[in-house]
Amino acid sequence: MLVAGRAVLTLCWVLSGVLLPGLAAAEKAKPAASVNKAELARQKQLLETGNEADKLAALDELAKQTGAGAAPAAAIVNELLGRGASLAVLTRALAAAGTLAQPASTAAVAPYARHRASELRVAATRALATTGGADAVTALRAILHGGDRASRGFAASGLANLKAKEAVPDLFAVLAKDVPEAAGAIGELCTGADCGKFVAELGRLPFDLMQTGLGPILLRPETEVSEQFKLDLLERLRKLQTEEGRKFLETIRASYPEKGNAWVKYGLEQAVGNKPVVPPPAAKGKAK
Amino acid sequence: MSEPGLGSNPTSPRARVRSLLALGLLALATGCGGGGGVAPSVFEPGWQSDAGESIARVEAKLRGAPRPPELAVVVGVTADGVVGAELPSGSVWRHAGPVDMVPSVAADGVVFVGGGGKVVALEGRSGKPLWSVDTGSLKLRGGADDGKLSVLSLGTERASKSRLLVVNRAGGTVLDLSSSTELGRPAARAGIGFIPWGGQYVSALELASGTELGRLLTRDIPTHALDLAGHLYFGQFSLVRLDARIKYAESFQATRFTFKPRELPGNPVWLGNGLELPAVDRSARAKIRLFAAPESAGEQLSLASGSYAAAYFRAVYGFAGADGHLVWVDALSADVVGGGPAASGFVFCDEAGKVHLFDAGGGGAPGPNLGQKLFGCTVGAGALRVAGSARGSLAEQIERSFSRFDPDMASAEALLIKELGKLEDPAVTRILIALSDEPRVPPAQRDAARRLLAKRRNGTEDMLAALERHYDFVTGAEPPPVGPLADALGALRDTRAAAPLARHLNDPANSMDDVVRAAKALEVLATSAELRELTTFFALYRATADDPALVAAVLSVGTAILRVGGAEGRAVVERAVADPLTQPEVQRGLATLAAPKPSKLATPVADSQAPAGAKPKKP
Repeated sequence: MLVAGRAVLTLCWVLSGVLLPGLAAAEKAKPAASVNKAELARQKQLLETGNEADKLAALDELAKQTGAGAAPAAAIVNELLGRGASLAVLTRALAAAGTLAQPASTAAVAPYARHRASELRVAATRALATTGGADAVTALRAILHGGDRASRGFAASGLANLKAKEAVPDLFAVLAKDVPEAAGAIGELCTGADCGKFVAELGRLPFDLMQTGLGPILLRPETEVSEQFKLDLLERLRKLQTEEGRKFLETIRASYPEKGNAWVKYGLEQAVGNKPVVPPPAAKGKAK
Repeated sequence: MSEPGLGSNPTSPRARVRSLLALGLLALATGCGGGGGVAPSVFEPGWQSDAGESIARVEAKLRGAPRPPELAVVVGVTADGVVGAELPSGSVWRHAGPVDMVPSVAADGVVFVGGGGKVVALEGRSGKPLWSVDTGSLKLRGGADDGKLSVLSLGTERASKSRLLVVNRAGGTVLDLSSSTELGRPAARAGIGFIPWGGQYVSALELASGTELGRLLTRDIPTHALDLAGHLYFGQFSLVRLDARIKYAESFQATRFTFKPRELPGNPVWLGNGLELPAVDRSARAKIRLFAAPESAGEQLSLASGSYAAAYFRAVYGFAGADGHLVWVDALSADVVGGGPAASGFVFCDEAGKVHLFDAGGGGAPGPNLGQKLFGCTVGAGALRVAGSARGSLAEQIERSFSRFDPDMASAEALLIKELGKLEDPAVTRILIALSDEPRVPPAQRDAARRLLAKRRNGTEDMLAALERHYDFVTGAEPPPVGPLADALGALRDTRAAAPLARHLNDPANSMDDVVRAAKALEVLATSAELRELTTFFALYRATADDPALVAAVLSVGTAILRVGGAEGRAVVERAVADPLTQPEVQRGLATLAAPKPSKLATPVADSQAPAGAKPKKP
């Protein structure tokens, strides 16, 4: 049940990521706010000498920095992470680093992914998913090999978020070891043979685990996953003739973009109607 | 030969008078009784001690007496009879028939098989039947053979009634004596049978007539008469030898053999009670055995092979007679169901039917494969000298044995781990590392391996190699025993361990105990190259340490930072002392560590060994 629940949540998260790709871009497109250097200096002072409440408040303020202010704010947070602090302050600092999403924070955040306190490991892993950079990918891949189940899940999702295609082998390695989030990440990141390798697990791995990766594969642009691959997948899903397969197909049809690929839409209709998904080769690409 | 003690000096006037009296009585009895023995009736306890005179005469009579050549034989009990072979490499023979007692093997290789109200004698070399006699409800306790006549001691399970049969090669009964007391396991030599009985006597009977030629009185609880490598011995917990000193047995001045085995898994007993019937035992007890034999060297007796051997299910091992240390070990492919000592070496048979030979040093030699499942086994190999091939060092033997043990062999594993710790062989370190995290080894034994590993002072390359390993969810790799390795490498002052130990500090897969010990070792071993790992650990835990062990680790790391971090390191520690968020106990400890020292300290290494927060030694 727990795995199924996590898989469904992952599916929702993945679908929201696929369907709402513009949100993050829109956030970044906000006009740059002017940097209040004095205010940053005050927050820095509080983080160095204040009590716990002061530090928590300062971190909240720093996390609000956007645009040009984000980098210097992140630098101040990074200094705090480098010095260490109480559990509450560190948890807030890691969240702030994640919000500020600066690659320069990765080096300061990464060690906390190996803290003995589970909440700090998870907070650090989640932050790495947004700070980004090559070191973040390295750190997240290492977390997949670690002993913390929760962190492994967030690391898998984080790798998808960072578009870390090089992590697909690691994701496959943990997929069969009860890391449902790896399925979603593979669905987000796989190309060609890797997507085929993933789909080949249909019937071997639980469907509720598989569907978190199949959804993204069907919803990704045809420049990344070919139309033919998607149609073959839809036919394979139809042939499963299972209730969970049918429900999944209906969910995808309902969320498929109106302006999406016509043949994929056709395939979805066919599959949901339990009709063969076999468009004539000559017709491919012509159904508009 | 030294004189016996004063209290029973056989040359004292009193003893001489007693001896003369005994001789006179014997002469009278012989003259009046027309060949009568030393007592009015055999196996009757109402007998006045003759101070060893009669058994001494028997011993003198037997000196130089002919005896048949000895033959080493193994006999196994199968589902439908017995299977056997001459040792070390004879052809396997089989004999079908009922078997309710473990067979008895005489020194000359004659095999006695009891079952179904009969005892059958077989030729040990070929399995050829020699004769068969009916025994009724009585069962075979033991048999002996002098080359012409066989002696059988028969008994019942719940009564003391016994019977002694002497059978010739034609199967004819030469002598049939009943006894109301239990008789032990007999021996035979040149027409004389030696029958233990009554817990203190061994009667020497003329087999042809039943005349009791002599009687030995000994306090060594004789329930066995053994014929080993040409010598006769009597006893159970210890043995007396039939030699010129046998007449002094009553006062413990005969030539005695005794050995005290070390405490062994399952507490096996050596010869056991020879008065009991040797029923085929299919319980676990039959797989826990102890084998030892005396060896005659002139007037002295010693432990044959210089060692004794034991079996614990499929584990077999040999121990030095002198101090009980482990000499060799092996794990067989099936549980042991019997065996015996050889004149040099040991023989075991396993329940799969394989016979395993080991020389005195534990070298292995090929034995026959009896080819059938065995429920019991007897070995008569008193004159066999096994010559085996070396099986590697003792450390390697222990390692191989562990790989073959079942998880329920904890007692044997505990013994072997303890013995491993006594070996100087550098390979022991590698083996202990492997055992420390071997899931098939019970936790208590893994802990024992870790404790011994911490004390190792060699095998450092294996230690360093092990430290390179970290937990890996994908590959299933487990962390190495970081704590014990840290202790050992710290004690060795091997700074090559600093970098891997520093990496383990920040690996949450390691146990807290491992982290604390790694931190402690880094107090001594860390160099400036490890500063980054040290300061990372310090930052992560100086304000989040939530148990005393972690506090101790942070203070150890603080000590290391102060030692190798220069001004920058000192600033890190001092900032932590000033930060109100630093965990209070950590803060207090760091304040002590960072406080200016009143005078020059001892050498950095010596200082760093002191407990965190300890005051410096006075100059």
